[in-house]
Amino acid sequence: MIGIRSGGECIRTSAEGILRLNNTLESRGLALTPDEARGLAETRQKSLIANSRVELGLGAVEKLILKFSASGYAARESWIELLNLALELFYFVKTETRDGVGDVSLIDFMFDSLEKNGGSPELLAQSCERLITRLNCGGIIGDNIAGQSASDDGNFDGEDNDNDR
Amino acid sequence: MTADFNKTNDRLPEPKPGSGSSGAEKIDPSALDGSNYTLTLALEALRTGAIGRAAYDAFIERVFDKLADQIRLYTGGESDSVMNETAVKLLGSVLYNCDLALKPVGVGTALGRIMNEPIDSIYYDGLRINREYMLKALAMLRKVKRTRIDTMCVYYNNLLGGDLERLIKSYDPKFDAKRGCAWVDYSMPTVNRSICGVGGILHLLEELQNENDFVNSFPKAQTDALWERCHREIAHPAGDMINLGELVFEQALISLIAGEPEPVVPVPVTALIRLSQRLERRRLSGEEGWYAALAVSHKLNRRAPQKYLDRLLVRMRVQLGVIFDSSDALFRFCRIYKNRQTGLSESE
Repeated sequence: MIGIRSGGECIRTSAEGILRLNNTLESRGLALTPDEARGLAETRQKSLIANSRVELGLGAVEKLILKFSASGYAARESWIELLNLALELFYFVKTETRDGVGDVSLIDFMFDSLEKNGGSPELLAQSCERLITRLNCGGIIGDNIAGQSASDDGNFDGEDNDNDR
Repeated sequence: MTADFNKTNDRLPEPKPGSGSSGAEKIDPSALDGSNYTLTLALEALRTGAIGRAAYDAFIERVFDKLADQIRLYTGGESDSVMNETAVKLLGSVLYNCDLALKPVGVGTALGRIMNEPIDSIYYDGLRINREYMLKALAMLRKVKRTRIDTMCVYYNNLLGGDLERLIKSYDPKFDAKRGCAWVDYSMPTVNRSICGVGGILHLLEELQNENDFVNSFPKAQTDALWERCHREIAHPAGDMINLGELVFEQALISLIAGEPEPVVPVPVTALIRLSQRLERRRLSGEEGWYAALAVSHKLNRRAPQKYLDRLLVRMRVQLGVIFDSSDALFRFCRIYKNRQTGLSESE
């Protein structure tokens, strides 16, 4: 009976909001074009739907874009691809952890993970997967992300497992 | 996301027709959905031309702004997004509380409020009313428990023993005001196994109190004898179709039709024999049985509100078409079974 605005209208409004961030992004050489902003808005809309979430207003998108723009690995060539991935991962983690982590904490975690893993999107995704496991098993977000590889034993408290030595 | 709020058995006060803002007189109050009053009022106003499209869209924007605020409050400011079901719950709560504030006033005044006032103002008025209703519900619960029926009915005892109290105490008027509960296992005439919101809670309590008062208006010896006669159904774990008030009503009504000067439960066997002999001389059709019941039902109106008795009578109408068809049907309905060796008995 009561519907949120049509998808197209939501995307247009979100894209306009994203474009307003260019005031800050320009100084970092990461200003977005209208098409890029629209693409990000579409990615956000699709992620929200895929992860069964509702977000009114620009929400976490603004925080995420501004935070990631400060990354040393945010290059113009790969900027859009990085943002699209980050948006998808963000809403995925939020839903998979049943809102077990706040927006700012998660964005900070993703940013730190990107920085400490050499800007690798693949390792960022893996860190997010490990975070989901950790939180769903009762752990905390912590700072246990440095240097973790695919073969880590999944300790939740960052302590080495003596048996592995 | 679309928030589709199903029609419920929520029993809030009916809105009164009134005058007020221009165009409101075009709105037909019967077209408004009591379980979704605020939205249907706005839609109906748009449909009848009482308000324009721009005003309607501005109202919807205000509703979603309020939802955004609720999301922030609900998540403690930690998150700007929530799961779909959480959003539906929060939006439902906002609108439910607005309904509580708007339904007691006239249609015109209600329309004026939603078009001209901030949603916060209407919402907090409704939240205040909701909290008053919750206090009323707690008081009603105490009275219902104090006057509870002494019975071995598992479902009745579970409902009064803890389920209802847990429901009321866990009710969240701010974030989950429209909460539905679909586990009312005790069969009740106007509670279709589920209740919704504080209005549903109050209605359930009112029905329980009516039932308690009605059943307790009969001597305890009579009701104990009735529970004993029907013990297999009442105490059975799968006996969730039994309603104690209905059971007492049926027996009382048949005792009056059988010629007892005052309603008696359970129906005395002698009265049943007398009635069955009359039926053997002349069967009663369903319609005739119904009118016979109507003719005597007024003798019960000192024991319960007339609306309650009317509901029970309507529910009994189908059975009245069957039980007067044969003496066997009549005896079985009254849980008297024909034992070939010993004649009639109260057990098979």
